[in-house]
Amino acid sequence: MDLNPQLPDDLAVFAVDALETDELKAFDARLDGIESGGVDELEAWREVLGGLAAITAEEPPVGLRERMLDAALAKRVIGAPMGEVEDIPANEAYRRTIAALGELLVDLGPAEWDAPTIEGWTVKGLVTHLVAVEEYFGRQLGLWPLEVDEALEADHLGMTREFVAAWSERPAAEVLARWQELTSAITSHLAGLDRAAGRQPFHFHFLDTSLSTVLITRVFEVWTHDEDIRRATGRAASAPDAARLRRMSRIAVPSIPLGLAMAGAPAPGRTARIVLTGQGGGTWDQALGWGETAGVPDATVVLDVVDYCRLAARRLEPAAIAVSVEGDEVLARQILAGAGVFSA
Amino acid sequence: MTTTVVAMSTPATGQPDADSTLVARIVAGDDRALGLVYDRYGSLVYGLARRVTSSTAAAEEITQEVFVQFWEHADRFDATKGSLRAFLGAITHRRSVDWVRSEARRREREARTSQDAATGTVATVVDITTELGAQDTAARVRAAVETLPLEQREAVVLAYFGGLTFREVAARLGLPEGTAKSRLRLALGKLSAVLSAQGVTSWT
Repeated sequence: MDLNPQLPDDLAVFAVDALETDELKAFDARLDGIESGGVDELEAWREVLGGLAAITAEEPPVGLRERMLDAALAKRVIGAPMGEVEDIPANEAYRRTIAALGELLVDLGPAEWDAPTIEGWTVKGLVTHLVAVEEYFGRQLGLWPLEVDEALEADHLGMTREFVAAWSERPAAEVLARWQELTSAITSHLAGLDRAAGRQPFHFHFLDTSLSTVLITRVFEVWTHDEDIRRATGRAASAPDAARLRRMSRIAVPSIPLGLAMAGAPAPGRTARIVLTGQGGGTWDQALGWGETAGVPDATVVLDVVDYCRLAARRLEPAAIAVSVEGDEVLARQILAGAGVFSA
Repeated sequence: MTTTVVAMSTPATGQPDADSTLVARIVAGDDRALGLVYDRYGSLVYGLARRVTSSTAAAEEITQEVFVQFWEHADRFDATKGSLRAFLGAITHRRSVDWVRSEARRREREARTSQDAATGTVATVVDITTELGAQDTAARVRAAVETLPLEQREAVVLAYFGGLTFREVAARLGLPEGTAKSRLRLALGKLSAVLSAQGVTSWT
């Protein structure tokens, strides 16, 4: 008998799996062709059947839960998120972030350059700050000489204030042109580096770490200011793509012990499971004491990966974020309160 | 395990995670969320599999397969298309009927069906309507099932809980195949209407 997905009687038979196995497979393959009314009906019937299934609910045997979890973890380990997310090197993450800001800056109208934003700056002042940072970054990369006040080098903002003041009367077009010139030179240089170069030691302000880590820190910084400008000019927020979010979350979560220490709430000997949902997120069992190995989590903290990055950049307050917590709620609150280690 | 869902400035509400949150956690690689989904729906999956297969061993195997598959492919769940209960129920039912329709089991089932037919019982129907649980959802569904005319109730129970094909349902009830199909559709339509009228569009 030829079964037709367009016929309600046949669709009902399919909904309850009342077909032979080969017929069910053939029906599955033809489902894309059914009309929207049929789709709605099928979904409604499946809800009914889900309810019918509840009628026969029965406690599973003891031990099945553990066996199931063991079998599941043999297929996919804890922390491995689903979905294909491009694995990009740090220099590519930086390039994409610079490119996104570049597109935004050329789109700004003359009045928008004067819009007020963070630190008492206008948008032009903020971009001038970025010019000063790129001047310093290029110097650290060995691209050009630059005289640096050693007393201010560890102060990211303080180091640029004099430059921003000195450039305050220059037209926005000149600020933009300088930013484009610097970032073009830097991204060209970085494009020639391989992943091994990214692992080399690098000094940037108070950070003595790898070039890759500095680059992802700068992705946080540039993206955060991109959103500052969008906010100042009435534009919608713009999250990084999943590949960059994955790189960002990979350095943000291990920074939690630093955040706790900076917030005056160190938590040696304790562990948190951090679950960042959405594309680019993942799951981490993070030891909260420096250099410690993660144990059984005392708290599980679940939040959206983009929200977490905005929290880390201090552009969102914990109170503004939907978070779910299992376990030690006080510890979870301390983690969130100390998350802002990438403020720009 | 209870979960607190909070904006962190507000008092804890102590509400469990929504299914959608648990699914997002599983997609992010959180095995604890898989355990919570099992705690929430394991009895539904196991009970349905055991009812359809009449086998404890098969029900354990199917239950494990359903949740392991969900761990691997939770991103296939689309909350806009229905509840997690319906999603897991559909996967469980399909696996269960696949199990009973394998050739070796088919022979066993046919022998059992012939025996039932000879004694004139429709045991499955009677069992289902008397063993309904005390949970709210089950109670609502039981009430809805009881509104069905007997001939529709027999058809849907034999097909869904008995794992019979519509042809087997027709043979069992002495009906033309087309009539068996129509009774299934009418039963689903009426159940859907009754439950919607109660304001129940999904059970989460």
